Amino acid sequence: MAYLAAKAFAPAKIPFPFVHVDTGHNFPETISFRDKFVEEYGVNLVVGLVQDSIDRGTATEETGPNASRNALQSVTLLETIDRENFDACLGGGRRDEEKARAKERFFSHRDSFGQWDPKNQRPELWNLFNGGKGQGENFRVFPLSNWTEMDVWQYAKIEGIELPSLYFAHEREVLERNGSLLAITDFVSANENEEVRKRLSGFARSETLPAQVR
Amino acid sequence: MRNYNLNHLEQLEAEAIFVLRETAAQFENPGLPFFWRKRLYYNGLFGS
Repeated sequence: MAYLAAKAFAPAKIPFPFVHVDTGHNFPETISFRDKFVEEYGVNLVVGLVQDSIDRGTATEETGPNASRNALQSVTLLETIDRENFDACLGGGRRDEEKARAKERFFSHRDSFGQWDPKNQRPELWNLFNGGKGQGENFRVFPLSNWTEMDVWQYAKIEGIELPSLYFAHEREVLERNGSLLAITDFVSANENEEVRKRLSGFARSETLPAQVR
Repeated sequence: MRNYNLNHLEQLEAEAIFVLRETAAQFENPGLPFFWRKRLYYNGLFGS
């Protein structure tokens, strides 16, 4: 998506900022990949910190050994959209992903509360996209709607798009917990009765897993 | 003669680029969030 945005406006710079909702719990690879891309393409980067939402009291941190800040991301994202006054947010959602995405338009209308209302969605005839909206309302835009996962991988291969190394399997230190393998990172460490071993493994993204595992 | 037919990936690319340009044209202040997914859990591993 970032690559397509660069291609769409070349040789000009991408005319809109990239937004990163920073949980503070990141893989170092992710951040260096982000910074490299931003630098290479001269992108304007806006960062929303989940920590700020926690400090402001609009989000509450989970506790326990499997605590995650993923659920808090959407709070921070909405706050960042508000702060920056975005009237359209681009997303890489595809119709092949799951049923909630399958019904999406290219231009998906959200009311001032960020809610999706079927009656407010616009017909999309041929390639006519209607971005008309009222005060305080905004749009989600999904340029990759008609792609399949296979298209994405094939396109990345043909165009020689650089992918984050996290997408691929490496030798990692892992531990087994509740039947799944977890990688040892700054935020996951072994309890005393858990065994750590080295193994060729990669990170699975949630949409590639069956629903009951998520 | 040059072949102007697009294969399916070129069609998808053209469509995505059209939508990106349309977004820049129609909206005053668009943004592109990096990680959209509500549930992008990087905690499951696939083995080999």
